[in-house]
Formats: sequence, C-alpha cells, structure tokens
Amino acid sequence: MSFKATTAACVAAALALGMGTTVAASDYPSSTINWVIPFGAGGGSDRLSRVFAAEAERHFGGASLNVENHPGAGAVTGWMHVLNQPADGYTVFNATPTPIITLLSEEDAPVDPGEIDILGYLAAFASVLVVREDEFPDWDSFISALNERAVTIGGTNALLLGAANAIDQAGAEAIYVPYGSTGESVTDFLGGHIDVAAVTESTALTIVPENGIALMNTSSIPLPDSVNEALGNPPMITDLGYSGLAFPRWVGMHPDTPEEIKARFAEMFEAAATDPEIEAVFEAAGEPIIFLDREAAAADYEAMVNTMRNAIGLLQ
Amino acid sequence: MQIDAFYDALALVFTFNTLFWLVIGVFLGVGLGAIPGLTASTGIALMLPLSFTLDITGALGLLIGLYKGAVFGGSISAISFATPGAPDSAATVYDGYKLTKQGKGRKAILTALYSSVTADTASDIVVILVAPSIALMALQFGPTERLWLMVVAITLLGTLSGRHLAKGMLSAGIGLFLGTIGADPVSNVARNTFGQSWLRDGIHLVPLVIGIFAMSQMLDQGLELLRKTRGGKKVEQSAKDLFGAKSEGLTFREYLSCWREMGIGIGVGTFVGALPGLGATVASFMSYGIAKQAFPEKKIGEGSIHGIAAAEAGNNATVGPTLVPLLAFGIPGSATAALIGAALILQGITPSPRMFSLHADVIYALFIILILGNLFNLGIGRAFSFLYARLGQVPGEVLVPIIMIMAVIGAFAARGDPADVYMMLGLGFLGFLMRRVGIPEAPLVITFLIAPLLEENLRRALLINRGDWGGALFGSALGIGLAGFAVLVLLITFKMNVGSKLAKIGHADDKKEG
Repeated sequence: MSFKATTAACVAAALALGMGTTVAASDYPSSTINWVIPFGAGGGSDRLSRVFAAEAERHFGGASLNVENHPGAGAVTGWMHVLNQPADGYTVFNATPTPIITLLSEEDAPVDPGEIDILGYLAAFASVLVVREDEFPDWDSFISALNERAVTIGGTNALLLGAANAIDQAGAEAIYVPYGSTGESVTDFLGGHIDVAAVTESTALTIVPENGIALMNTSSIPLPDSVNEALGNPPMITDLGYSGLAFPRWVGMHPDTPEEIKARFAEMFEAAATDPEIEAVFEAAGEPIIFLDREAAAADYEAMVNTMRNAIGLLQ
Repeated sequence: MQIDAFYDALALVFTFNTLFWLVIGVFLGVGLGAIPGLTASTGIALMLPLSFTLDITGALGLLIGLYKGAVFGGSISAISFATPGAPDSAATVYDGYKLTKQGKGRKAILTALYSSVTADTASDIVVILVAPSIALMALQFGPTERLWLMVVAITLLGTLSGRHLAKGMLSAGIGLFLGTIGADPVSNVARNTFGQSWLRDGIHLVPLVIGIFAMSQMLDQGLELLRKTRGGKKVEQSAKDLFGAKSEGLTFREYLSCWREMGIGIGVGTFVGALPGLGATVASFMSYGIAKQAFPEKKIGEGSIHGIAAAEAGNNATVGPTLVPLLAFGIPGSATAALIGAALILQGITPSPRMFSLHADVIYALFIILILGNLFNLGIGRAFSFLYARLGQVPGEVLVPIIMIMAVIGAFAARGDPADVYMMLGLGFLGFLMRRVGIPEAPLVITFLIAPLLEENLRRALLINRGDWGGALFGSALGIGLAGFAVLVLLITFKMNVGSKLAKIGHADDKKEG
C-alpha cells in the first residue's frame, strides 16, 4: 500500500471513529443498557433495580435495561467491571455507599471513589437515631449524656457513619457497635443491650412509637413528609448547622463516557425517576424514590465521600 | 383470639387462588432447594416480583410455600449426591449419603421429609401459641448470651471430631482460619486476604460446603472408579436397576423410633430460629450434635436415619420461628424473613407490633398458611423423593461427573461470583486430601460457621462493656448460666468418652478371658 493510500485509510478510519461517537450519541440508546449492581440477587438493591428496570424501559427509547449482578470484594468487583467495559454509555453502575466504605477502609484501594461520573440518585436512605424516650428525651439531653457517660450506639457500618458524623460535629463521643444486619442491632436495642439504634427510616417506622422515639435524622436529605410525620417529625442534623450524611442509591457511568451520552442518559433517567407511575411502584415497595438530578447528586456525592473519609476514622 | 378476624382469615386462605399459589410455592421450593446453591432466600427473591401481582394471601402462600419446600428440598441432593442444596442441609450429608450408597436413598429422603414436616408443624404451632413470649425471651439474648450459646454449640458438636482428637483439632483450626478471611467484623478492614481483593467478602458458606462435602467425595469416588475397570455389562445392569428396582421405604415404626431426635430438632430449631443472625444451619448442626451426643447407641454418623431426623427437624423447625421477630416487633430475623416482610410491605402492611391489631386477619391467614404449607410439603415432597431416590442408583461412571457439574453450577449460582467456583474447587481438593489422611471434615465446617459468630458477639460484648472482659463474659445471669451449661456439657462428654473407652477395654478383657 502506498503512503498516500495508507494516509487516506488512516484518515477514513479516524473519521469513521469520530463519526461513530457522534452517531452513537445521537442514536443513544440503540441497544440494551446493562444495569450493573455490585450485589448478589435477592438483596434490596437487586429488588429495586429489577423493579426500576422493568418499569423504566419506556423512558429509554425502548432500549431494555438488563440488570447484571457483579458481587464481591465488598461491592468493589462491580465497580471494577464497569471501569473495564467500553465507555459507550451501555454499562451503568447503580450502587449504594457500601463500595465507597470498602474503598475508604482499604490502604491500597484498587479504585478511587471519584472514578465514576454520577448521573443521579434514585433513592436515599437516612441514618435515624432511635432511643428510649425516658433515657434521652431530646438531642440536648443526649449530647449531655454522651459527655457524662459511655453511650453505646449499634447499627450497620454505613448507618453508624451517619451517627458518628453527627455526634462528632456536636463535639461528643460515643461507643459504636457494628452489626452485620439491622435485625440484630434492633433486637439488641429492644433487649436493652445497647442504648441507641442507628437505623434507616423504614426500620425506624417499625420501632416508633411503641418501643422508642426518633431522636435525630442525621441525613443531608429530608425524609418524605408522610415518613417524617409517622416518626414524630424528628429534627434534622442540618437544622443545627451541621453537615448531614445521606446514603444514596446512586447511578453513574464510566468517567470516559462522551458527555453527550451522559447528558442524554441523565435526561432519560430523570424522566423515569419522576414518572408518577414508577414513583407509585417504589412507594408501594416501601422505598419511595428520592430523586436528585445529575448536578445535585454529583455535588452531594462529592460531599458524602469527603464526610465519609473523615467519619470512617471515628469507627476504627 | 379475635374470632371474626380468624373467620375472615379462613375465607381468605381457602380460595382456589391462595391454595394454587401455595402448591406452586411448595413445588418450586422443593425443586429449587434440591439444586445446590439455590437457597430458600434466593428462590424467594426470584419470586418476589411475581408476588407483587398477587393478592396478600396468594403472595404469602407462594413465598411461605417456597420457603418450606426449599428448606426440605436441600436435603434431597444432600442425601442423593452428598451435595447439600443449601448449607442448612450440610449435617444431613453424613448419614444421608451413606444410606444412599447402601441403596436406601428412598428411606433416607422419606426420613428427611417426615422429620422436616413434623418439626415444621410442631414449631409452627408453638409460634402460633406463644410467638410474643418467644420473642421476649429472644430479646434477653444480647452479645454476651449469644457468645455463650455459640460456646455451648461448639461443646455439643465436639463429638463430631471423630476418634482422633489431634486430627479433629487440626480440621477445626483450618475452619477457624478460613472463617477469619475477609473484612474484620468490627473495623471492616480486610484481613488474611493475602492482598487478594476478591477475598474481601470472605469465603461464602455455599462453595465451602459444596467443596468440602460434595466435590471432595466425588474426587475420591472418581479416583476409585478410575482404578477399577468396570465392564459394560455391569453398567448396563445398574442402569436397568434405575428404572426397575424398588428401593427400601420407611416404615411407620422407624419413623416413630426417631421421636427423640425430632424432639431435639423441634426444641433447638424453634429457639435458634427466633434468634436473629443464627439461622437454620446452626440449628441443624446443633440438633445433630446433641442427638449424636445423647444417643451413641444409634450410631449417628454411620448411616443412621436418626441422624437425618435430628438434622432435618432442626433446620425445618426454624421456618416458623424465623418470622417471630418480624411478627412481634417488625424486625426481620433473617434474609428470608426480610423478603417476606418486603412482600407484606408491597401489599400495604408494614411489619410492626401494630400488625396484630391492625391486620389480625392477615396474621391469622399467615398462621393457617404456615400449617397448610406443611401438608402440601408432605405430598409434593413424597413425589420428589421417588424421583430423586432413583437418581441415587445411577452408576458411578455417570453420577460422579453429573455431581461435579452440579457442584460447579451450585457454587456459581449462590452469588453469581466466578471466584466462588475456584474456591469450591480448591476446597474440594483440600477436603479430598483430608479424607485421604483421615482428617474429619465436620470440625472444619462447624468452626467456619460458628467461630465468626462467636468472634462478632465477643467483640460486641467487649465494646459494650468498654473492654472489660469480666462484664463482657459474665455480665448477666443468663450468660453465667449458659457458661455453666457449656462446662457441664464438656464434663459429661469427657466422662462419657472415658466411660465408653473403659467399657471397650472391659469387653476386650472379657473376650480374652472367655
């Protein structure tokens, strides 16, 4: 092949590649989008992802959403899988704070929590501190007690981070008791073995008002009105001027994905997440959609990672 | 009892729709449970989207039927292929597979079925009568009490160490080490992972159980088959047996002879099931260990139906009580209970202490479905037992590769993680080596299962007591009582072993003199 012909072929190939990206962006999505979750089948994330995938297809130009489970390595395997796929918008990552906690706990983490482009939040759960009313009737009495004696707070690692973040900003210290599941921590709270339970709002609803009160919502995102009311309108940590920590079900893509595709996906994702029919399905599933658009979610995600980076040391 | 609500519940349950989904649930459950790696919670998760479309009793029928069927179903493959369908059937392998090899697979499966259904029904009745009392009792078990309960379990299970204490200890040591791999339960920092990120979640129980029990046996049997040169005629004959021969069933007298083992299973399973975080596997092993300890004359572990009865009664007796914390406090005590709770939420019923007053009809309907599910389990389980018992007669040349493929599928199916397959193969090879040098597998599995629970509870107790060991270990009367019980069990075990050894020496002397 002559030099000219080689050059022409290279230029044609480069043009084709360039055009390919443009065509892909304008046609996006033209095939199945793989919706990767870093957990096994049967958990909460799996359940909600499958509900969303089944309901949201009509907002993705008819492209189907295929839920893929990539569990392992503290939910980091799924993240690495996403980074190893082509950055073409056909692999989406839907996760919770679990992989972030794993990465922040590792000395030599294989991925940085920043290696993802956040395109929205589908839901966010809060860490609500539940106490016995006769022991801690309000936040002030709780903080006074923390300064006077050792108070034990039980919950899963993520929820304890929310509690630790709030208590640290109030200038107090507590004993954080990690549990593998909420069921165990709530049982120990009801049995009087620990003083406080850090639970999600849906678990708090099963405890309040019979067996305790919701002392504080330590999240950065308000609870839905109906939930807030059922919990006796607990104060939010942000009301005190402190930063809160929400635990989102976030959705992101490979950072190298072309901007047009990310923007298009974010648009379709918003249409699906704010569809009243889909909202009703999530409401019925016990986890209402708390949607944050791309910009708000990216800002909250960055703040969350920074807050977690600090709070994680409080648990160790 | 609210009689009106009870009548409403009867009307809700005895409809074609509810009974249809209950039958489908049990059928799917037994079938799924018999496939290694597919546990009850995976099956329920897979069926949850379908349950959205059903009414409340239809959904409960489907999910509870599936749960009951799957817990029994796990024993079918444990008995037929030495591959427990789920970890909670692991203790059934010891006696079940030995009976299958003796051509008594059907007897073994029927024992598992009848003891499962008996224990399940009895524990359901206990739940219906005294659910709130059981739940209140379970609340007394904090980290200190749970850690002593684990110590009691280890002392009870000491009898599974085999005849050589040193080999038993070595096996337990390996299990202890394997159980510590993964994230530290308190600091969440990875430990003993050799820098391998895929080990961060630790070793999953399903590939461990399949590798140690099934793959190791198949490697052993495969090697044995390679050594023997089998003629085509013999294989033909065995294949003919599969379709023509009748294997031995279970007589009513034999079933009744297992009443003590079933009683142990009902007691242990009911209590352990009501405690969050322990589950059917612990109950099954504990029940098996107690029965083996209490009735040495029944030769449990050597191919005895009594061992199957104890293990299977133990795991199925947890099914109803698992729902106790959910019904009494709204707390899901296990992954399966959480999924059933999710189904209730989807139907507009939030599990909480208010459920009994707000939705009494649904609670009674759930109770009726619990009992009815056992009847369907009995019928459908019998049909499956005939089918699977025949698989046990398949010639080794065919069966060994089939079980190996099932083991690979089972290890992968549990979490969809390819690393679990490699882990299962590695553990299968380890189990094979252990068998070759006479090291028992049971202590490895038991310490792997119990030691992490013990560690978690010990460390929580220490955190709660600000590092004070005295308070962490003996901070409550119940804790002291359980510690005393553990010491008592140890003393009895020691005395019995010494006694039996002296008796053996005595017999040997008698023979010499005679």
